[in-house]
Amino acid sequence: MSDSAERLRRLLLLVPYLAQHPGISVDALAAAMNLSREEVLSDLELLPLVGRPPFTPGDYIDLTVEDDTVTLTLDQRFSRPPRLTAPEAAALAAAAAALDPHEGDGLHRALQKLEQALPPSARGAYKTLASRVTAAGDAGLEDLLRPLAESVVRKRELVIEYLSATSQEPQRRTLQPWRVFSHRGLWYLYALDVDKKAERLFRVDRITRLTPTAERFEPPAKLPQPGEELLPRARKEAEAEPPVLRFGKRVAALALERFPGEASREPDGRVRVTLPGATTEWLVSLALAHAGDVEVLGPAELRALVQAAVRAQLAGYRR
Amino acid sequence: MERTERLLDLVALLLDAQEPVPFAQIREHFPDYAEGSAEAVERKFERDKAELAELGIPLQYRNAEEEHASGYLIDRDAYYLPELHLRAEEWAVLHAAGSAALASGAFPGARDLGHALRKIAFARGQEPVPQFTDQLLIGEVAREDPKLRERLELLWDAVKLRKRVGFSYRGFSQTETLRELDPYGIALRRGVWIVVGHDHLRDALRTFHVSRMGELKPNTKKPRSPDFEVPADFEMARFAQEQAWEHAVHEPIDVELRLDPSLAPIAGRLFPHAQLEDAGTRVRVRVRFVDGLVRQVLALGARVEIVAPESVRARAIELLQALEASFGEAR
Repeated sequence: MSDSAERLRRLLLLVPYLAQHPGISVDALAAAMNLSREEVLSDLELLPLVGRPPFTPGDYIDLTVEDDTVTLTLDQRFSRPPRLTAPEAAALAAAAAALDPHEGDGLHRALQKLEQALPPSARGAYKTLASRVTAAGDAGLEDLLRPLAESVVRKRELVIEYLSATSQEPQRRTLQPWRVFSHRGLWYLYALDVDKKAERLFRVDRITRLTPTAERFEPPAKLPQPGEELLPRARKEAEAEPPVLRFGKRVAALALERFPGEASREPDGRVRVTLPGATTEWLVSLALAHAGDVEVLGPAELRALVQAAVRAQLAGYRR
Repeated sequence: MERTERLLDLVALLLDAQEPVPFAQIREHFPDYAEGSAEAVERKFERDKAELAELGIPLQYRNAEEEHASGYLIDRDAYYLPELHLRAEEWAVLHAAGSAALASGAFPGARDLGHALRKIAFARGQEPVPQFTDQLLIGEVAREDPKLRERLELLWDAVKLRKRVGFSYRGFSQTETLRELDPYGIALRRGVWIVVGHDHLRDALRTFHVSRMGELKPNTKKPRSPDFEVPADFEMARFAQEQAWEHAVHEPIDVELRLDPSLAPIAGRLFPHAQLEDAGTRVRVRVRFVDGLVRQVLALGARVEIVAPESVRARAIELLQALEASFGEAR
């Protein structure tokens, strides 16, 4: 879409929004439109030039910006925004696909209503595009992500049974789910463990059972920056010696790609990756997955853990 | 007159019109349409019409009838966003999914998505617009690859308009190649954005990691006419769900795994598409890339064992021994 069309699209929403919110501040308007203050001001500058033939003074949009507040005299023609376009609806469907909408659930119904709101001529294009672009790439998590997302959004506690790396049986936990996100191919739940009164990070693929409850909670006003919650340990205590792995030449490029901020190439072509704050469970499984292409340089405790894990697996094969 | 201004004036004029507005009259009001040859003016008007159609605003041409001359108008009933009748909980989860995609910083069609959310929020009337939340994040967090956002937006347009793209690509082998691709679809596969399409270099269907693409150049010639057709039997979902051991590297073989009972409840999640037996403690996987499966098994530790065939078991042992040996080497 050209820049002029993109700008027009913004204006066709901005005008009715302004008409509905007389005296709104420039900043509030920018927040509602998800634009920067500068973009909003530049759009506002254009509006008084917009009119209709015969372009006498009364035929222009009447807009005033005073004391940082904006008022627009309602122009009846632009009382509501235009319909959704097929790509707009499809982009939303592509995102919703990550939560696996299923016949009968709220998300599925919402998507059906979205489709119904499209002009009939646009429905074919919507369906095609929505089937070709998708965030639904996590087979097996379907039954978890949607209820998790709902609990997060509706601020309801949930009870999970969780299989940690070390436990033989799933453990029951009551949680206040604060955030669900994916990182490096894994989905995580960042939550308050109600019984332990401590924040914890859970891998979604290790949840064996999930039961939503009606118990309300209030999440902290400010969550950590996305990605920061992965480093709970590093936040609380500086590690004496951060974990360091070295990847062989065969997978050097992959390591650089996967850990852009943490990897550095050594003169011989191998790649050294320093991963402060990473969880031990994840580090051990990372090393095992790259067996033959990786060395664990330190710290000593991590070396010992990986070595023990290797021996345990080998022992199984030698039985 | 700026283009945006002209388009907005045109929408204002036609939305307001009680009857079709003849083109002669439009020309009169818009100096931009009065300059140049008749063909140049027509081309300009056609471009504007196409641009408005892309925004979901179709200009309709009406033939002359008794009560009016021939001309253009915008059907008001078709223009305005209708009431969606979304219940609060339906909107909550739809908004959560949409804003989760935006919050990650890179999502194909992010601009379209943002508009969709704002339009729906608007249609819901005076209730406060929910803020974009960071409680839910879908996709790679873009801080790790600032170019990802831009590439996904270009690919979204290319998939939408079926336009060919050119890019340099550095795959696993590290050799850089120049590719011409007819992009059929985009998916987030296990946290990584991929694009699938017809690769002209290999003359075959291929999958590319968006983060491994160099500068991406869409074909800008004839932007409104598609460069290719997507085969009727193409299914993006199949590629989106493909596991590492399902990449077509060799002829398929069946591999049998033994799982510790503690992993049985999540066996289907650890090995999607596999056949589960004995309550999830015995798993049969169809494999087209042995190392892909072996590495998944190794990562799970001693709770999973490869039972058969012997060659795959031997590969696991070989890799484990290599890792064990690395502990004896100098640091």
